Amino acid sequence: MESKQIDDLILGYFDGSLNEVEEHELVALLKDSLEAKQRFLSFMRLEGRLHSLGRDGFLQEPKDTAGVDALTELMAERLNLDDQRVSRTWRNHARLASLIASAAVVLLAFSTWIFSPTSVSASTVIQQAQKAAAEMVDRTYRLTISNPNAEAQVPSRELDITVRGGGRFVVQPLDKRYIMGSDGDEYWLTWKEGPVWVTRDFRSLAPELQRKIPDRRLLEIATSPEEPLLLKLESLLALIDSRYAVELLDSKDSTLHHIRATQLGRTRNRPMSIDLWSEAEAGVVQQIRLSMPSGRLGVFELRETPILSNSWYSYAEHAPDRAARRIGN
Amino acid sequence: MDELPLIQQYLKLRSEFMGYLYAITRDAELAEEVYQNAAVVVMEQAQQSEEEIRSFRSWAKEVVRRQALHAIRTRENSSKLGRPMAPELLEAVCAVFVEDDSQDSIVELEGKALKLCLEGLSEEKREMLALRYESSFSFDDISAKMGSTPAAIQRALSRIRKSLQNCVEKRIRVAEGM
Repeated sequence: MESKQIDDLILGYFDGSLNEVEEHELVALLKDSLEAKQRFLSFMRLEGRLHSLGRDGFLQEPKDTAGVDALTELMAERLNLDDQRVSRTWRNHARLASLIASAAVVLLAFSTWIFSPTSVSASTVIQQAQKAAAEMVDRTYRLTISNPNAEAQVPSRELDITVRGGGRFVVQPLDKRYIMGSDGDEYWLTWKEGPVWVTRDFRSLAPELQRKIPDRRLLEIATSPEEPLLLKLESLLALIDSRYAVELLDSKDSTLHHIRATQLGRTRNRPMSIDLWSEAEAGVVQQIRLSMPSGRLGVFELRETPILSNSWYSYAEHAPDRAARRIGN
Repeated sequence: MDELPLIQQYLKLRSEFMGYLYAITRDAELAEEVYQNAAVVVMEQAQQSEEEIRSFRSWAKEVVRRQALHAIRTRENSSKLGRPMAPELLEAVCAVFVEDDSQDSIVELEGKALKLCLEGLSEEKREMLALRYESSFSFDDISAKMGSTPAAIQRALSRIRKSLQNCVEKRIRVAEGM
């Protein structure tokens, strides 16, 4: 069999698109052909790497805050263009339509303006919230994790999360059993006693921690593939922007915008839906409710805006006398 | 045994294990779960083992294989998927994995080469890969998002993976001075 046919069978296998006859062909090849075995192993490793890179978010071009700014500018430009197009269209219509019809259009436009004085969409709310989250301002949120649908009564858990632009965050449960964070460069975690675990790749913390945290539920929050990202407000907002369908809902409080984001794919570890309330003026996120496929509910609520030193996000500030053990670096 | 801490040795084998786990589960989430569970078993058993582990890779492979087969059986019992994989195909894939004696240096080079090869892809192709491997979109979902047909997306993704594989092989040949 030619290499191309072997490759097609192997790729079909990974896509799950082989029929029974083709599966038999592949079995025979894997038993008898050294070339097929080698090709299969190479493609198998390629699949593994693509899944790993995808999970770590390395398959897409990185989005930085400068990109967000550029996007905001681009959107503003487009909004202006749209306004110009609307104006041109309206002028054309005015020339063609009767005076009465034109008056009706003007009346309609005016009444729309009265009820919606600013041009707000779900997308602009997200952009505004991203800009606010990227600010070098410290904000402390209380995260409450509960599972209202659990058959057994599971107590809710509460953590304080302080965030600052540039991916800095510090997380600590209210019982202060541990503290973890990132200074924007390295991730770290430590318990009341013992060393500080430090890594540039937060995912490499997971297996190491799994042995140490007896509470698996908390571990899922702290180290599962997607959720650590959610501890960083900027990353959460970027995730909403790229992987969710967002809609602007009516907010009972006129000083807040309310958007709802619904997951586009079926990634199990990501929230199915996210409700976000942000300040209409400044874009600062006031509350986020994450509904996980497992039935868990995570609620972030802004509690205070402290003024903290630059070093507050580094482990040296919280565990000054502990040995740092680096993993996966 | 390798002097590196166990966790680092295990992480070094991530691509190989994830590739195998995906190959036999064809479920990225389940593969990830098995990989994480196997990590715990590897750590626990390595510490409890009274005998010296001569080849961490072979030993960890066996742990991963057993965990994977257990996960597949559990999944099939819960009848979540349609047609289960033919036992002889599962056996053949497991045998290829267990018997694999690819050199560590080549496996490591492949990883580095892939990152460079990915940089050469167009934005659209990277987006397609991201939708498939990051967001776990089905071909149907990707086609709806990209305005194409599922079959065309499947073909396009096959071409992308083939071109990446060729690029990786070419870079390794260059690196080896062949």
